[in-house]
Amino acid sequence: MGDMKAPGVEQAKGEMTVAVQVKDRTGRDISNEGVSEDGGDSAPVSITAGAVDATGLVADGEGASAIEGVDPFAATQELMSHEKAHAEVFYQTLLICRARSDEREIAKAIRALPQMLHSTRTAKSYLRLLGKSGALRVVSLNPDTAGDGPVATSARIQTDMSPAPAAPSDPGGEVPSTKGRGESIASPVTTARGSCAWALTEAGERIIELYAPANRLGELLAREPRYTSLFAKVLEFCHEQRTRVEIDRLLGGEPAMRDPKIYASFFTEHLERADGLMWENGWKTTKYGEECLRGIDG
Amino acid sequence: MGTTFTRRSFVKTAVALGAAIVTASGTHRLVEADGAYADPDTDTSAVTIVPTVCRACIAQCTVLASVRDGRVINLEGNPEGPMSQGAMCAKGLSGIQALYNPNRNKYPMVRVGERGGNEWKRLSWDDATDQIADKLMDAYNKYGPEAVFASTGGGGNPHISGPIRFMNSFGSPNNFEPGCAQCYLPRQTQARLVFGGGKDDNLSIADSNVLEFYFTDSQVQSCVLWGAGPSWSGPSMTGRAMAALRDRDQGLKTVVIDPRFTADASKADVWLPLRPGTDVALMMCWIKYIIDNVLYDADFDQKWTNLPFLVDPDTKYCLHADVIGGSSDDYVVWDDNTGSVQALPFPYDDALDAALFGTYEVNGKQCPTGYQVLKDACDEYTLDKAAEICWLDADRIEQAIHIYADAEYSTLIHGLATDQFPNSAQAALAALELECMMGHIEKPGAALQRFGCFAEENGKGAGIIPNDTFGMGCLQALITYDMLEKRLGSNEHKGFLNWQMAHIPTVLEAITTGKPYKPRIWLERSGNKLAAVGNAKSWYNALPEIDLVVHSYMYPTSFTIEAADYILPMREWLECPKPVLLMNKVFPRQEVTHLWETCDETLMWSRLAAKCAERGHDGCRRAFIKSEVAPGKSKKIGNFEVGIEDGYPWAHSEDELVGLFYNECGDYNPDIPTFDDLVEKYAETGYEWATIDEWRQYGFYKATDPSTGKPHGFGTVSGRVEPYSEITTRLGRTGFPFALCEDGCVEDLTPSSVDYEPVPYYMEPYENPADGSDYPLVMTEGRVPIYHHGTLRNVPYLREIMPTAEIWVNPKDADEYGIADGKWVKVSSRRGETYARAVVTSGICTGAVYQERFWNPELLDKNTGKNLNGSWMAENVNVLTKNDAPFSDVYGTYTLRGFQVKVEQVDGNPYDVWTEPTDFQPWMPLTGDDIAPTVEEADPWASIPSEEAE
Repeated sequence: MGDMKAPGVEQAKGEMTVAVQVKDRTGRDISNEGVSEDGGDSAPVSITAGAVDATGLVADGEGASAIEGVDPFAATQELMSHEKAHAEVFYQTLLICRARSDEREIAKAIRALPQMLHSTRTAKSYLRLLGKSGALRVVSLNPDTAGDGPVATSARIQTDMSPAPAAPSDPGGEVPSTKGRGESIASPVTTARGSCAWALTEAGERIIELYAPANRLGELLAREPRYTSLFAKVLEFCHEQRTRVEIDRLLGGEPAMRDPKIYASFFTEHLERADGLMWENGWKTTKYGEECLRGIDG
Repeated sequence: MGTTFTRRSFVKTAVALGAAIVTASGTHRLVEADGAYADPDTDTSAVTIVPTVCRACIAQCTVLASVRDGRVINLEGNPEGPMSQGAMCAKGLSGIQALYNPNRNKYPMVRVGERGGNEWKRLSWDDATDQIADKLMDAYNKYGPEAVFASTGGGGNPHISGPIRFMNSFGSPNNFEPGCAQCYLPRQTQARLVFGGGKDDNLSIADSNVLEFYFTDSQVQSCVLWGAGPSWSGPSMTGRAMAALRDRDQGLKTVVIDPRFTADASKADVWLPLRPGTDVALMMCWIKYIIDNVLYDADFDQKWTNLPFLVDPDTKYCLHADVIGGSSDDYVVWDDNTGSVQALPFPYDDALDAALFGTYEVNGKQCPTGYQVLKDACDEYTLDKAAEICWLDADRIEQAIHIYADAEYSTLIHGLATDQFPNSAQAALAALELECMMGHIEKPGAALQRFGCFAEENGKGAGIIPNDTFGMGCLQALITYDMLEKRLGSNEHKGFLNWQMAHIPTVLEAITTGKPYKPRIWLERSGNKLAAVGNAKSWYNALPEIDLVVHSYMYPTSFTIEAADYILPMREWLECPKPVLLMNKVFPRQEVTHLWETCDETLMWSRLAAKCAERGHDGCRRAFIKSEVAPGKSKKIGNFEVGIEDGYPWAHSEDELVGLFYNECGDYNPDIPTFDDLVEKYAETGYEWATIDEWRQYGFYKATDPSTGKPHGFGTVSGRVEPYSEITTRLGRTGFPFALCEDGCVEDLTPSSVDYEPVPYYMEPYENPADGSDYPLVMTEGRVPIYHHGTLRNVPYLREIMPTAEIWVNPKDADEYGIADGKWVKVSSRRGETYARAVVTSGICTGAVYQERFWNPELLDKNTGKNLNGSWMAENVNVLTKNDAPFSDVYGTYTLRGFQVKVEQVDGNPYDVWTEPTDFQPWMPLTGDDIAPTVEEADPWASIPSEEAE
């Protein structure tokens, strides 16, 4: 980590800066060290602490199947509550899968979701996890694209330095050795690549129903009845796009927010989670939020 | 050419250096080893000696690192260090294995699977910080800066000020550290309030204070180690110093107050193995005994403490003389000479004979002296009562008091233990009161000193930012009043204002309830929060509520697996340059080597701040501009100087970073204008910014301040030490003196819901043996000599010495509960259960057990996914600890010691943890060609096609 300048930051000597670079102490530019040619969509790896364990590793698009003996509705609920930051994407993915089945099309639609702007995950990982929980199932492999070549899947960092084994379905993809590579990141395990078609399961349909914004908003108001009027106030205010600061000002001084003390973000955050508000460079009431507001006013 | 790394005997090396390395059980599990260094007869490459400073723990011993072909091959102590004097302990010696651990975090990585699913993708620093900054700004715009919070820890080469600086730049008030309220904050803060010295002038020897003890010509005759274990917490520094003092012809009489029979207890004249959590009752007994038997230093108490000041019983504040027609700068005392209330100016009026005790009428109100208030508070704590509460023998208590009180030169060293239960504030205050009462202030043998002040007054200066803790300054000029009000839990527990940190349980509650707002992005810069925070499972359960976790550390931990979305690789201490202040010398810690893409922590924060500034964050932009972060004018309230500290903007490069730490050293010695000059000229010997005689001088408070013509006094409001701690009361009501922000020191924060008392009171532990529950034993914790907090559990040689957690069980309890020595036991509390191996020993009192923190890196890949990862469940005492109310009023301390557990023997090794020496072979250092100190090879992922191709 060497010389680094932030654009637009005025230096003490009055020098305006340019784009951020990273150099080590020898002056070598290491800004893009380790970045793959494909812009960052390289294969994932895993951390182990001494034993090689390839179990539980599933290739994206490899026909993730629900865990036997586990109720898929409960499993999917648990997935979405365990990963609240991604719950909306999971929900939207299920909706997308109602209308589309081809994996590529689904993935493209997932990537277009506004919530994906800051997700660290690939579109296919959402599909895989929902497949694993049982809300989705793979209905076919596209025969035209089967065997298109190896795709890297998960592997593990091995502290005992032995190479990771190939995944069971590997049609012969190579497993690069970790020896002599000077790092404990193990090589990825390669598997055959295929294109899948996905379909909702009954559990998936039930999840869609459960997580419908109308239900979420209703549950929110039932859970926090003392703040109903303030939720309504925010929904009303956000007919037009509003900044956080504007909403802070709107609610400043509200007696109901004094004891216990809460701040305006309490309302935006909960409404967002329930899909009553969405963020597009400002807070804006969604159609579900509008419906909810009509229900409150009614 | 590679270097074969063979085994070596840590114990041999450590013993040769005089450090005390004894396992808790007293047994060794070592095997004979080969030499661990390259054979000089066959290997002819040149070896370079690089002087540096260790940071395996907070002691910071000076080190000589041997380097061949860029490879660190040997570490030994540098005898030029004034505190360690050439000693090194096992923690420091493990630096090589820590540095070259195969499981180091080497590159930034992002999680691509589900949380806990352990699937990662490598990315560049630029991409990682771009993505993180995007998410930070998204949260900032949508929810506000308080949506982001940061945390750090005491272990793992931290710059504790780093996350505070970043949060202040970003506008978020919330940082925390599992220590803080549970480690050092209470003692450090109370010392600032009572003694009025600097940040590091207090009774904690482990935190590199009590500097008098590093001189064998000290006149100290006896000392009390109260909840302190210097021989184990810092074997090569504090342990070495204690051993040297004991080794004098006159020796050193000691009293050790600790439930454990530690190495220090083994040398003590009296060991008081008190019931964990009851220290304050014992301290109040000591105060009472000393008062009743007139063992205190009456002259000092009268002239240099606020104990004779008359107190308004309604306000609890000391009276100022304006109430009797005098100056408001003066205080009010009862003068025994005239039998009347009189104004007391600073420093004193020899015409007066101020009464120490009694209650006197002032303007129709009965006003006691501060000493009387203290006396009344302690009155019920007789020897017998304390013995009953604390499970001690009254005669032994009395014997211990006399060892402390009878010696002309005596002192009290106050350790961590009492910072770890809700009575923490009162313990810190009571310990200081004892020292003040006895006049153990800035005199020979005393712990409380302000060495260096005379030298600074004479124009000398170290010219560097002193140490890691708050080392860089925290950019307080960027703190707004709103941030102070919004900091979670700090209005209720205003002690947090001193460290600008938040209350961990309140942060947790906000995360889980969304009230008063929801912290949702976590920037964590330390090791294993799941091994360090109280009631770890409660944090695990909260993880679903957190949108994003960035974990910056040297190697993966349980926290990485269970929580992290991004991993940022940090440097080990052998990779970090920084000047380090050790007494009257400045030593350079040097970048002995640098592996992979690891980054200095402060530079990482700088980078994030720069990225946020690029994206329009104004606070981050300002944080790079020196004039924007400069402190305002400080002011004095009485003798207490308040104001925001010096502000150093963010660094853009390593050189700039080191230069910032280096500060103005060259102003004091033009020979060394830069850090590189310090390295070139003084790397091994250290730069002596004052001679030892200039530095080590007593009695600064009595010396005349040339600017006023009066004695310096102490840095308190009254100018005296203030064992009647009205300022603690004032802190709770107003935030003074720690509520610092861009407006200076404010005094109108929302008051705490309870008034902080100016004198101690005893709180019986919430869970206690008398509650008749199924948990009959009292748990305590305490340090071991070979690990530091949660670090170093992945170092092969150290794990070989102590491979598992140990729980000490008294033989009587072992018989009662069917526990055999060496067997695995399940330890349960109301919060959860974990395991350890039993050590049946009379080194812990009946009714109590002891277990130190532990976690198991070898289990990182066990039970991944939504099952709980074994690495933090197997042997983690923090699965048992208590993080709910009651908390300390002032500091919010929860309960890490003094809670109830039960112990049951189990069969086998429940989690199959590694125990045998050869188990740890996978962690032996990478050698030769396996090391890639710089990334020059081709991108290893280049051949793998994208899974997202359109």
